Amino acid sequence: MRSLHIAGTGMMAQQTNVEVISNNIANMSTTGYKRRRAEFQDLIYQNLRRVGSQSADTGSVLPSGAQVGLGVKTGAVYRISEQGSLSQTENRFDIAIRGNGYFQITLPSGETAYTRDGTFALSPEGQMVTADGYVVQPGITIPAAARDVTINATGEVLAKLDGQVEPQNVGQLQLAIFANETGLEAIGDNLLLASPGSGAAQQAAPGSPGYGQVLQGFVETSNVNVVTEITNLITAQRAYEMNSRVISASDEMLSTLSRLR
Amino acid sequence: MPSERPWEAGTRLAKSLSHVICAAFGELEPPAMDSPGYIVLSRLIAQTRATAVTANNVANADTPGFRAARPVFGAVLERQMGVEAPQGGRDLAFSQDRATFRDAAPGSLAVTGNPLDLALPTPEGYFAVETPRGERFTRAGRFSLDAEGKVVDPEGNALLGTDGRPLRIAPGESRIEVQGDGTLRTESGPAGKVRVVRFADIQSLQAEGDRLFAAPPDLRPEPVASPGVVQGAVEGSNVRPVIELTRLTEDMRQFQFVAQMAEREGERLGTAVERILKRR
Repeated sequence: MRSLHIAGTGMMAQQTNVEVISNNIANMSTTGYKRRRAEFQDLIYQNLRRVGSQSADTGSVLPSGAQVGLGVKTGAVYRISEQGSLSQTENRFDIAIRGNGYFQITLPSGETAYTRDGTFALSPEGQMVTADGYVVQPGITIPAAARDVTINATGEVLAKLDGQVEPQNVGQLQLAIFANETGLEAIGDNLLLASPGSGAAQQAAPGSPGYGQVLQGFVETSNVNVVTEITNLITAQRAYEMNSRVISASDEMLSTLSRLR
Repeated sequence: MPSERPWEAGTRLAKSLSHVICAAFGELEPPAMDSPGYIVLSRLIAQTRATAVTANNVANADTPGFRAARPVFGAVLERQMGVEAPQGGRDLAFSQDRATFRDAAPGSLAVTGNPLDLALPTPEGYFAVETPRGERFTRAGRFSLDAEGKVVDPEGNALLGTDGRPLRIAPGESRIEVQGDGTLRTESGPAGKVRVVRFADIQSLQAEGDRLFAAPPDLRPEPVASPGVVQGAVEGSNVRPVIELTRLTEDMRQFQFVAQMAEREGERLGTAVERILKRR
């Protein structure tokens, strides 16, 4: 009974699907979260009669062979890097990216991580850090005497100091882009790491060709669409049920056989 | 033999009896008294395989570009042994699942907004990808970029252009546009054209798993001039759950029905043997 095992692979795949959907729904209000989607592939096939073989009874060539597929597997769980909507917070260190690119964060281990979550704050030393206290690259220090901080669309950080009319440039934000952003590896806390699949990061100022612009006083909300997730959840649940129907049908066939006298 | 089932015992007895009878009448071969049993068995085996095909369809109801498969049953005819046509000489028809054919209907398109998700609205087109085993074809237009900027499928197989080479996006180019005729453009101009092919006979395509199809050597892929590629959408599976579940119920009932027939046939043989033995 191949069908028992085939339906088993179908149930496992749908379970992964529901797990991915539930993670999306759980993160629907996580800043900068990108929704995931599980992707399925058919498993290998077994040839009962190969295409083009001769059928013995008539000597003619088979127009199509008999192939039985052996089920389904999860091919990938990939991130959909569609822009999330921007929500205004009026917080002067909340920075959203409109378009391509990631902020670069120095982890305590010295590694560089990438994020779309621009809810930054100042450390006691006046350095721009993430909500977890990790330094935003390249280190930008706001002087203690700064009264007003403006970050423009191209990432220039301008501070108005006491007694000066002209705002002073105190730093420049950089964005990183990748040949394949789907290849970035998520490590939690809204952070991503570069991987051999993503390619190396290429840095430039926001607003350069191919790079997004930054927006002060806004955060990028998650791009999870609840309606889509719920409909996907319903579909996944029904698909799970259908696979279990196949299992019970195969089971019934087996029990018919075992009851055969 | 207590472990033997009555049906088997009956068959064995009937066979040896028929040998005796045949010897008496000078015939060379015994009439196949147990052929109903074997015909029923052929159907049970075919039905089990048919259920496996349905199960695989249901399992792949969510696989992009998947094509539902259907079993094709055929009769294998065999001349009834020792009986000359036409009188009583009807052929025995064994059931066999001769082939599987693929449902060619297009699956529904799901809009994803991903620039490298491509779909073919016409049912006959296929994308060509380069695998270590040679050129393979797929309907699942879920592509992304790899670290070198090549357009690849989830397994890392490169999507081929009309020139037979993998399509490539230069680093730093971010605006990817695919036009209806398959031309791939970025902000710095055209970057190639997606190879879309069709086949004279899609039933000869061999499914390989990972949503790929292999073409047999004598089946030439023909390029499609205007494929009408849709960007930002992916073709789903063309499995229709209603049909699969109905088929599943049908498969199961047929199996039970045939199994019941096997049981009756066993009983009939048993009774026949019993009667013959009583006559003695």
